[in-house]
Amino acid sequence: MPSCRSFFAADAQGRFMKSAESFRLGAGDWRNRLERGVGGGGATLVVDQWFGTTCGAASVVVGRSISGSFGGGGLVYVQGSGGGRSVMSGVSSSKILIHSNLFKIILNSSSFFPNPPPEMAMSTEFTKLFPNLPEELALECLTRLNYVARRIGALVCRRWSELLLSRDFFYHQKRTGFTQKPVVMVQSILVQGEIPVCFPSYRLTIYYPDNRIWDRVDPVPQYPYGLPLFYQVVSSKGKLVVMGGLDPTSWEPVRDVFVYEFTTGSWIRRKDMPSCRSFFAASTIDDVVFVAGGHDVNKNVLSTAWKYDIRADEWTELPGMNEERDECAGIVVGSEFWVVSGYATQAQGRFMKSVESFGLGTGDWRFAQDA
Amino acid sequence: MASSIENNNEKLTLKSSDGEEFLVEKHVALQSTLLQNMLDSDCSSADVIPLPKIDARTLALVLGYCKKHADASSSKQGELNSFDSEFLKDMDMGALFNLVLAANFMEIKGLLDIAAQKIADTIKDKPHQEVREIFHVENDYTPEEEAAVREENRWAFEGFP
Repeated sequence: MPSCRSFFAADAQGRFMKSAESFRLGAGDWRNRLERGVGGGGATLVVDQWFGTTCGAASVVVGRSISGSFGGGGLVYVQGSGGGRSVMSGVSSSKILIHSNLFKIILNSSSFFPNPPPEMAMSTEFTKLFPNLPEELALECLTRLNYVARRIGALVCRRWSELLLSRDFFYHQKRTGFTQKPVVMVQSILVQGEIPVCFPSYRLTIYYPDNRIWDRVDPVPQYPYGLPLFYQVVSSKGKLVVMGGLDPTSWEPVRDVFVYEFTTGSWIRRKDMPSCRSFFAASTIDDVVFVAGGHDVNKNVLSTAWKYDIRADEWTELPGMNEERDECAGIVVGSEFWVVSGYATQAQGRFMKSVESFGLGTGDWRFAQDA
Repeated sequence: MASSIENNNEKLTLKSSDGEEFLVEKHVALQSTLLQNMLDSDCSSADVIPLPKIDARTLALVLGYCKKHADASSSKQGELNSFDSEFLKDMDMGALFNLVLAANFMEIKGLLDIAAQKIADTIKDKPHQEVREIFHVENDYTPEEEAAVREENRWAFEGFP
């Protein structure tokens, strides 16, 4: 990068950008101007709507002191930084207020939801959904039910609950075109009542741009008071993966990995990270999560990198990066995992200019200058 | 094959379950795949076509929908959308169910779509007790089970009693 900045963003539409500069992967140079839509895909639009800007996501990054990265491959996110807290009100209505920090956005493209299995067993389970309608017509109606409203439906009776909360029903909706694209966000939430957390509590929220509906992701069972701190979350094919960071109540480093499945709306504990890691870079492609950098339990900055196969629930070590990188940002672009900036143990917060990428095919790290 | 389809001025007669007869222009009737198939298979348009599952009130609504959609050109999608939402606006659940049944029987896909969507949207933003009443669904949860399901999904019910 031409200069050192601690707040930066990366996008996967073929460019990296940092404040008002963008790096064009194709041309291999840095440009000192903003391009509209540099944030990539629908994220720019969504961010624009919320913040009322017209200059694209990058101006939000600059103007709001929000650092972090915009991703691609079905993933866009903004990482928050700086003080203040965001206040959300009326989550179950569409009138929501976000006053300040939008901590992270993960926008899922159509690739977010996996392709459903070819057939859905519907014969025996769906009996007497509506007393006044034949079953197939009742199903026609319920298939059009919004993902958020299914929770209300589940309270109506057992049959509705069994249907609406089943994986088969989700796939049925997906196949018939009645699932909606969610925008998943990490936000600091004003929590009512006494909780043993002395910091803003971070929660995952969902926004459906098509219907303008807000929802929350249930808390991870192990973290009822909020997500870990300085952890990472990525999304892949209808799943969210939460990993690492610090326990929000004890501030102890954790190795926990949790996967949220939209199909069932539930969290599952997965195999722990090989070691404690916080402030690291993470990104995902094809159900494989890549992590690199950050620091360990003794605050030693890491150059190590691992990949996690979501389906196999398996961690595999990758070759180490050329440099240690704390508080770096990561993004998979095409067949490369890019890790941007960061700083070494001795540098203590002095961010580097360098960027390196891991070739998923070649299996080695290269600096951006060499790309 | 019936050549009569080409003649837009021709009319046919539909008869509701409660015996009321409706004179319908052929191009309006063609919104229904069922009627289209009947006409294609050489049913005489002079005959009265009985629709034993659809009452007069519902059939009038269905034909109103068909007429609007048959008359509007494809370029007026926005106008049709606002017609559709106005058309269903104050309809009660019984009427919506009848519309779904009729649209399904007469094979009018667009009408089935909007009516089914309207029914699904009714569930949105309502407490589950009200949903039960509207749909006449019997509550087979024990109070403990209901409380457990409610607890699992408590974020969804903020603002509801």
